[in-house]
Amino acid sequence: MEKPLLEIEGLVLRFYTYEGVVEALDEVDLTLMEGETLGVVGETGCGKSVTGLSSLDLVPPPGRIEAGKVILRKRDKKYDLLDQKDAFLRSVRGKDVSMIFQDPRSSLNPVYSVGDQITEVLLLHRRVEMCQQILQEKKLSRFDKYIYFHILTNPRSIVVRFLSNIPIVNLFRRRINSLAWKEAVEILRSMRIPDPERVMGMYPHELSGGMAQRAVIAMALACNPTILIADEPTTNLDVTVQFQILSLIRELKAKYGSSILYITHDMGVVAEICDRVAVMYAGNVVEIAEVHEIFKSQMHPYTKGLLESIPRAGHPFKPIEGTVPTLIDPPKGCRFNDRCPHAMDICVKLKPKLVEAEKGHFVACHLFGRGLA
Amino acid sequence: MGLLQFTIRRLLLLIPVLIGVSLLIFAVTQMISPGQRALLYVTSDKQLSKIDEIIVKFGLDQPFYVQYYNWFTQVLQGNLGLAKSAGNQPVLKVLLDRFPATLELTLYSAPPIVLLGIYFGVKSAVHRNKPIDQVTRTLAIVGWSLPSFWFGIVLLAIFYGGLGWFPPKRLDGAAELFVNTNVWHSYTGLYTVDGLLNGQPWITVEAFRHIILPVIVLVTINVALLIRVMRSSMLESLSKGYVVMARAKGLRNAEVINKHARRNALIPVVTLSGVLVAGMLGGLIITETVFAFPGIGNFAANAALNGPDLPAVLGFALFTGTIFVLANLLVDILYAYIDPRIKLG
Amino acid sequence: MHEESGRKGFMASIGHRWREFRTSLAPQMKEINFTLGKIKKSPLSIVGIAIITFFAVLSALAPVLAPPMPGYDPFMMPQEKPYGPIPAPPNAVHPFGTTPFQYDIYYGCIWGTITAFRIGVFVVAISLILGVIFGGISAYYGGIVDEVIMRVTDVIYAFPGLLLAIALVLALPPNFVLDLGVWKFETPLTSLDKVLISFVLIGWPSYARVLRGEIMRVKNEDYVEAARAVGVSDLRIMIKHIFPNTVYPILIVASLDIGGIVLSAAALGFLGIGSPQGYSDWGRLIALSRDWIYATPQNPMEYWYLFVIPGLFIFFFVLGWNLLGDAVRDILDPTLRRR
Repeated sequence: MEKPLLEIEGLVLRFYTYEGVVEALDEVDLTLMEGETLGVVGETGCGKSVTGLSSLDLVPPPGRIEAGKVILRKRDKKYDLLDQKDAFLRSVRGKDVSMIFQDPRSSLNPVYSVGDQITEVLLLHRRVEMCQQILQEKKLSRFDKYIYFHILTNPRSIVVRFLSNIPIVNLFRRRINSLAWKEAVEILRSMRIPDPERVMGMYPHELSGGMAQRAVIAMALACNPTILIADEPTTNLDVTVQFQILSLIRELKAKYGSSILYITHDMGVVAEICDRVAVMYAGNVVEIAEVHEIFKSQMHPYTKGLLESIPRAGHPFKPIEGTVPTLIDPPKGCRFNDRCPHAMDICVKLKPKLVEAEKGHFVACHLFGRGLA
Repeated sequence: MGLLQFTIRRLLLLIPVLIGVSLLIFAVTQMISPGQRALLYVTSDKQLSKIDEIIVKFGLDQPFYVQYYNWFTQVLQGNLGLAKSAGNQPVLKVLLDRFPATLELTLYSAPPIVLLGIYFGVKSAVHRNKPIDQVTRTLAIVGWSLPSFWFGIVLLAIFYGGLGWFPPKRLDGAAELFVNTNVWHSYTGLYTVDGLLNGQPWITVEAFRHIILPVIVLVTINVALLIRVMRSSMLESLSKGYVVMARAKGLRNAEVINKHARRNALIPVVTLSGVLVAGMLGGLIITETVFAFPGIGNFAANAALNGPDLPAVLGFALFTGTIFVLANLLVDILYAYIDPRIKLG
Repeated sequence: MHEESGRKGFMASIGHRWREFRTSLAPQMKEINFTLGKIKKSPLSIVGIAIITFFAVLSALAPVLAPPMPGYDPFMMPQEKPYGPIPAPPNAVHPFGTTPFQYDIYYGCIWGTITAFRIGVFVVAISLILGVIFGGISAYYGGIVDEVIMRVTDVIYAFPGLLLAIALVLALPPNFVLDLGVWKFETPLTSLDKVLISFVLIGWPSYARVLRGEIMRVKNEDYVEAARAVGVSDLRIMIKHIFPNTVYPILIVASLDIGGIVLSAAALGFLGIGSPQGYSDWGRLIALSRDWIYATPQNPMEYWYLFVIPGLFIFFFVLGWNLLGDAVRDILDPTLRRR
């Protein structure tokens, strides 16, 4: 029996803008199981990206998480990330849960080299482990031994931070920096980047889109996170590169055993790498099922419409009628009711809850009200 | 192209700009009629009647390019003419004598302006629209709106006329006499530093007493500009993708702001600081005049208003223009050093 | 639709076109209203507007508040006989006191407001027009024209402005002569005119550069390419697409510039360049106070009214424009608008 790794419960997110309050997420429920790749699909504006950001409490103002829980299982203990102190959250980000974004070149800081940015995350989260490695080396000066032992026992020590800023004294950092550098080179190599030593010294604007995304993935996976949240990582890349990155992700998942929350609007990608899929519309999760179920027997009318609207040669183009409602004063009932071919009276008045209509297949629609209860 | 190639290329581009600068200065002076310019060489009434001879003698009615050529060749030999307003000393000598004063003023004003500007600019951007931001911006605008000469006068009236703490000029009384003796060795030309190097700390104290008011005026007025540029640059930087990424990596807020956002935001600020310093080195005409500070700006104002002492003004303009262009070049190089995108084309 | 209005007649078609025009303007109107709303909400801009309004009212009411002497140029300050060299403190006849040689400070400050407006608005307006013309030409023609104009701005930029201003004021001829052979136009240039002209000559490069930079940026935007691809004429593109998107930064520079110009003019006046002595100009008023700053050790601020009062006028006038300009800048910056 698989155990849930990340449970998002009842997440409510609002943006307080000049034009009004945007109800971006309306009680979103999602569960990511250990070892699986969960796809989150939907069109632009459905809230899939901010769902990912909310999991790590990274939503910028004027956004505010009003309610809900994001429960992370870490070493068999459960923590509600939204309820934790800042220090805990920071120890989770980049280490237990990593996130990568759509445009790799804007995710990389243009004034630092690739190597600097990868070692940054290594030095941040794997410091203790690296200190242990250093302390086992033979030719260690007394000062070095003392300092590294100190870092080991007290990673956030102010003394160390202070000493790091003094010009000659801070040469003690050389050891740990070169260790991190070597480690980063290996990580880049496992990303199938040719000549990783050279790439380490390059700057983001010198990289192609595909290389940049690999570098970003390297940064994200550097500390072996259990969860990777990928927010449309291949959207900005051309199709051949997309294929390479996808196979890379698949390979890495197999190697490291991470679970992936894959956010995308491309059903083709979903078919390629996802185990289960969650479909989102206008801030709600409307359907969750295994991948082949979704493609074979969709339940929610929106999912049906979505799959039917994928253009196919020889078939007439069949879009979904109407447009996505504005989220500033959203419709009270089911947010899809004005476009749904099966809309009933109750759909306008009452919002359907996400229920398990069949085993492992969840849907939020009044057509499937009863559920397995 | 590497940093070296970049530097060489910019140095070569320097030459046409400098020529253009000298042309402009010369053209401006040519707007004054030959008769008026001849007047400058007149020292007695007798000569006044022979003004036509003077015009011919000094070639003041020759075509523009001839005069320019004559003048420019002299300049290249280091001869900028004689300064009537400074007892007929060579212009270049006077300028070089007085430059350390302006340099000292710049050295004590520029770092506070830049450092305070960066610090408050970042704070303002990070806490946008909160009280600290509003207060900082308001104070900055107030500072920028102050007429520099007026502020200087008010400060002098209070701190010198009233309290006698901070006098104008660069040194006076016993200190001034002392630095003109043989016992005094001018190592750097900066009295604050030389005082210590000569083993006469009281000179250093005196120099500070005199320089503090002009520095306050300059810092108050110019810090506003830096705060404004730093703030807007920082706001733009904070909205970029790499900031979210840095947060997603688990970095502390302070690190995200200082290490990632600020470093990118500093780029235009560096340029501005360089331009500012260049402008200051080129002579702080108003401030030096108000405080009777013997720098090159004071000299130029004097020359322009009591005369006009054309060779002095011309020489000053050329001197200043050159410094300005060189300083801009340094800024460009520094900019290329900081921003890898420029260096590598 | 066109057939319908054709059937109903000429007037109906005009009404129809007007309504079309109105609705097509709706997005711009929304933006303008949004901007005005933000201006109204920002306390700094309100203070700025209030200050400027105060000074505008002051200058409009100048003939009432400080009646000029009949037969004399209203801008020349009245002098109290017997023109004594020692300034007098504020009293019943002269509310702000009198300067050395007995110029009425109150009169000078009031009429100086008009002078300040004239200097600021004139210089900025002409610089702006010239800058837009040259910047537009530079951006439109490109190539060698662009290079030449940009080098000219480079050279002008190579100088700290004040020095160039002084040099130009000294160098400009006493008369402006335009000799076209058949027709000759000559007008004397006062010292103040020369100051204004030199400020304009130094000021237009900023506007030219800003406009050129903005046009370059907009020219390459997708919507311009799209318009061109559909066959829209160059002129229409310039008016409808390029102009609205490039005009804001220029307004920002202008609003911030007025304060700076007034300060520079006052600085030159302080040095003795600009309007003649006795003219209602804040800078010149302070220049008169130069010898009286330190007074006596017992009472150092004895002649405070000589420089404090005109200085406060300058300060607040410039402050008003700077507050407004800064607030407008913050509001119009597209990256910062919608938070």
